[in-house]
Amino acid sequence: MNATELDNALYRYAETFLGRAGDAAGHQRREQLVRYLRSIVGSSIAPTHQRSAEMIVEDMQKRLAQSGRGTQAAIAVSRLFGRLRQRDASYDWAAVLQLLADTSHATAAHAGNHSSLSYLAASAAAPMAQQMHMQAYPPEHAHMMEIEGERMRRGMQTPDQGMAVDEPQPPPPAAPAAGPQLQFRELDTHDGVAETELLRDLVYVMQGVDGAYVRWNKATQRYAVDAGLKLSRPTREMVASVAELGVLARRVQEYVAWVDARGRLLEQSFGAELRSELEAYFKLVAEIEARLHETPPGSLAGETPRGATFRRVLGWAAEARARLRLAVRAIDDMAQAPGGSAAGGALLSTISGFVDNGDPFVQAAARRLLHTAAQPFTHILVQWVTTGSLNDPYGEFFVREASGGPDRLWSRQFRVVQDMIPVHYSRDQTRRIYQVGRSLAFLRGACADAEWVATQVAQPQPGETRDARRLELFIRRTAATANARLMHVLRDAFGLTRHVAAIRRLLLFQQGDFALALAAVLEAHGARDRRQIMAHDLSAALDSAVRSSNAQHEAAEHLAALVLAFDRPEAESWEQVTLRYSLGRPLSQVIEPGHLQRYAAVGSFLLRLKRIDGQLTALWTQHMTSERARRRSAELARRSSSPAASQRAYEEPAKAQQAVRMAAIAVSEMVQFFHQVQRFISLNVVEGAWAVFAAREQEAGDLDKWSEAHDDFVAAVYRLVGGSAAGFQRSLAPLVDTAFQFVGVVRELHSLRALAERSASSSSSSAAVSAAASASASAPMPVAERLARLRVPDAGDRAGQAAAALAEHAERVHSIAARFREQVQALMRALAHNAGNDYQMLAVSIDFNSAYTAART
Amino acid sequence: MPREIITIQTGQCGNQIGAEFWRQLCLEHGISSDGMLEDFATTGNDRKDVFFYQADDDHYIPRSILVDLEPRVINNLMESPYGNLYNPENIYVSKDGSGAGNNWANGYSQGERICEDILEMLDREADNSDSLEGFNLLHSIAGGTGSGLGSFLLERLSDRYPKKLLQTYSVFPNNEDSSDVVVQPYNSLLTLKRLAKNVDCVIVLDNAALTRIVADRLHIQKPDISHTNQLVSTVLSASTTTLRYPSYMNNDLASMISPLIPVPKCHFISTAYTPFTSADADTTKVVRKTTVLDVMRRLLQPKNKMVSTTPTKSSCYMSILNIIQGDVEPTEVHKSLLRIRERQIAKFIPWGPASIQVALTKKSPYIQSQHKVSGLMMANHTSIAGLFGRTLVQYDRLRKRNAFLDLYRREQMFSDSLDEFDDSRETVIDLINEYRACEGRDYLQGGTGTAGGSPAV
Repeated sequence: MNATELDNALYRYAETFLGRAGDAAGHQRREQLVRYLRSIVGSSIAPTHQRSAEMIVEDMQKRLAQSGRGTQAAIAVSRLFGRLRQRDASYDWAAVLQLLADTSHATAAHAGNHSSLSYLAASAAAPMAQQMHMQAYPPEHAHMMEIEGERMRRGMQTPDQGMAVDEPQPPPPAAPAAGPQLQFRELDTHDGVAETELLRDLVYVMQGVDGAYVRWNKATQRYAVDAGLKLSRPTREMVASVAELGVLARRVQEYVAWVDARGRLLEQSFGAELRSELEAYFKLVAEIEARLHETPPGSLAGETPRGATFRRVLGWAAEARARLRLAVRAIDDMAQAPGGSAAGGALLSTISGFVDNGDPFVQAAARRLLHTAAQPFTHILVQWVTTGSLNDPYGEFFVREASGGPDRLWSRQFRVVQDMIPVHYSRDQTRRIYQVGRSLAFLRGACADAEWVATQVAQPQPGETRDARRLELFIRRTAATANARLMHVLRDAFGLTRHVAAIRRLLLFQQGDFALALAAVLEAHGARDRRQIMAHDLSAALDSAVRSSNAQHEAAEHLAALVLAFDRPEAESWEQVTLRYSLGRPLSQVIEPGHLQRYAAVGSFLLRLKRIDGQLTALWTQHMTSERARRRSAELARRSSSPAASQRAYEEPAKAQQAVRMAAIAVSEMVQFFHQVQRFISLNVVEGAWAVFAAREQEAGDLDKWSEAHDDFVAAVYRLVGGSAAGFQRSLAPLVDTAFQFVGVVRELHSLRALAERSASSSSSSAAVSAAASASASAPMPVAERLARLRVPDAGDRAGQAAAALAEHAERVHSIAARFREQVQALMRALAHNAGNDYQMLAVSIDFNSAYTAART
Repeated sequence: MPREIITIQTGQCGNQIGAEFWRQLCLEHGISSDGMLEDFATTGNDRKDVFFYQADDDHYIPRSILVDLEPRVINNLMESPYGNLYNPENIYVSKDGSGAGNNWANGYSQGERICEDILEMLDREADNSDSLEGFNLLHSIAGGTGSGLGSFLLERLSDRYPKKLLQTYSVFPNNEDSSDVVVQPYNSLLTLKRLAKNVDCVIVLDNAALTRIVADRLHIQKPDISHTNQLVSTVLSASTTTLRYPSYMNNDLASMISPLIPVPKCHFISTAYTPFTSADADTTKVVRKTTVLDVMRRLLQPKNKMVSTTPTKSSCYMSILNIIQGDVEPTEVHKSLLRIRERQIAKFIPWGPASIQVALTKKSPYIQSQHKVSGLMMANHTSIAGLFGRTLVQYDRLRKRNAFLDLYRREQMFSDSLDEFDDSRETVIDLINEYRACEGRDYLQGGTGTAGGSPAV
């Protein structure tokens, strides 16, 4: 080998590592290194991309920083680089620096294991580069990659499906066998086998079959060149590139075989597409093989335009390779899915992931794959959106049958499996698809409208199923007709909205006169024993309430839906009745029993309020009219102005008078209170929610939107005045109880008062008895008992007992009225602590003039 | 069980405002002037049976008794387009037709004579109802028939129907110009006693305020009685909307007035209405924009009140019911209430809870209204005592001179003594004192309010 200038330079460079050659061994080692360096230079390997000198320096500095040498070393590097630049600013130092940087990896890796190398540091005359190296890669931190590995990596441009060169692993660096010697393996520069020969081998490989030189390596799942074969680096890379085709074909074949064995519809369809892809590929392979044979004998590959060379084969197979790669990537991605294999919509999702690719080639191929694979899916989809029936034996569609039972045909018959929604279906579209199928299924199943579904739902044109966009438009159209039909059937034929409005009128008592009548009827029955009340009594009561109010003008179907029933069979009193609303199919599927239950719960609470309201108002009326009568009799007495009349004038005890006055004021207060509560419930809660519902209901184009609006309506009402366990009802319950108690006591007070008056005014005892008897006939039970006590024969005692009873009742009126006020105050406090402003308005209207809050302080 | 209400219209004033009232009701319910339901009104959800009943031929007939001691007004009514509306059996016109001569005593004593006929009509109407709730008397308290005969009927109604509510719409005279009827203070005082003692709820309509409203609010240059009657009929129909259009609340009379009257004695309700409209009104000056807050605010302004009283420092509301008509969002109501409470526009009694209650009702679909929202306020305000005080002062002035007492002495009630005058005066003073007492913080602790004391006027 002639010592060229390059050789000289390399020798000098090698010396910086090994020092001056002292002995023969040293010399030999230097020779070896120089040869290796020359093979690097000779291989003309350019970095994948030319980096600027500055970048390389920067890189060095980074590595230094990472290695823990800190900033000082980094500064030193840049200073050295600065000096280098000063020498010749116009020279491109990048290549030199790159070389230095690269070799420094290797040597550092080896040097790290050889303490003997420390002499490098001792070399005072070490040139700049060596210093640089030493600072950059101190022995203790050097654990860089091996030269071979690095080279191979940089050379291989196909990291994914690339080929590992099957060669003996370089000896582990720490192995003592390596000794102090630096072992560099020189690359082969000549192939041990002819290109044509190799190509012939590779034709097998391309079909996924082992060749003579290149075989399947199970461990790495790749094709590997026989270890004993000498191949130059470029050839190796060529082989690797071609062998990749084999790897890909193998994978696809495996997948197709798997699909044939146990694939589901979509996989089968996808597999079919893959198979046709494979067929095209095999055709290509056959063609290549034919070309290979065209090589004129004796001539080397590439010498003639005929025949095959690595480069030609790669060129011919480039497109096929890209397709296969795509297929394999899809297969791999599917394998990532839970369960080992993506099915149905998930499979489509995977493929459609490739459609969003910037590469038009990949995009087109992916589209084709997607189209074929989606066919069974589209078939299921079309059937679903046109008939509402699911024909999906493998569960690949994103809508599934759910076990909702016959009561929940609308809300629970089907469900959407999120994982199965292909990613290229938008949320909106998915919803629409789910929606339209359900609508059709519901029309068929619940609304007895199968004929319409069978005859009126348009079938897609052949072109529409093929084109995703046209299919979407078709679904849009079908959805519009199906939803419109469903809403039409429910609204017009079954009166969906009318029923909800009727519930608002009858159960939530917007129809106030009905509520009034019902409360009055219940009042009239109130005294009856529960055991005497038959079911028909309840229906008669309801009937009479309907007849005596404007509810009689309600549609017959609404009235038929009304049921008055005891809350529980063992309910003990007439109080525990609830008005319910029952719905038949299909409305019961839309407005589910749970909703009706909530309506009934709210309604029964409202009825209780109505009843206390009614009783209080009646008490007020009684009070007003009795006061009027009292004044009238006083007036008549005054006018007759006879002594007998003045004698008859009965002086009522002041205590009783005071109690009556207190009672009147308290009654008015309670009436006001319950009016405010009812007003709050009706205006703020029911009407507020209803306005929202009505607006949304009008707009609702499909049943889901409608149901959603209705759900929200029920929830809004129920949240604020819901079940008896809930906050508002519970905090109001004691007030209602107190008011009922109060009504009872004041009624008795009035009766006692009337009795006392009559017994005082009647001179003869017989008159008193008759008066008492007449009073007892009209008075409620407890008074009758009291009267029985009063009717003891001792006439003198009677007046005293009456007075005592009056006084006792007066006392009770005061205490109950006071208790009511306290309870209102407690309620106000509870409302104030309620999170949010839900009850703010109620608090404001009850305590409008701050009477309750002022009294508290 | 429609909770029927029977209307009794007595005297010139009573029959005139009654006629307006029925005309308005017919318009609102789509009932033609001869009582037939208009074609467009067959599907309403209104309750006509509170105020009407249906004859055999489906005619709607007002539950109304028309009484007068002179034929002129009722004859006019019979000749009007609405003449066929009424049940002819329910009309009583005195045979001699001389009227009561603006004399309460005359009207009252004629009542004794004709009462059997009228009570029979009332009994028939009452039997005709499923669940009669009460009676509405329309009258003026200044003249002879409405005040005298009206007073007599009130007393008898109390006896005959002790459990039914009695409500009156009573037109109080314009005190400022007393030239009309010189004995007006006498008549008023005597009627006031009946209103205080024999009635459960009096809707006070003050002619002075009505005239002022016609002139100032409607900007009508030459106001006459028809304009004020129109106002009254507006109040009448508005105050009964909740009974006629069922909704969540206030579907019967008792539930409407019970929160208004916490103290039985204080049952005089003043009203306010906004915005007023009239065919004759100067349209350039009337209210154009109506929101709930506007309406509720205006209702609290004195200029819209149909009672002219001057609030004192201590006067206050005992209760308020606002009946808001129109398309109203509940949230608007809340905001308005909050605002009113914040600004403390309305002052309430210091001894107990009191508030502005709001009833929302729909407008009649058959009447085009230029306003989105209109409102009627029914309020129990202690300043109404001032109105009674003025009557008392005028009475005292007249009585001091013993003027015109001969007219009264002619009748049996006053033939022996003028005790009735004195007793009425006592009653009115008692009433005034009760209202005054209600303004005090310690009202609840106080006596029954009947404890004497010098009159506060």
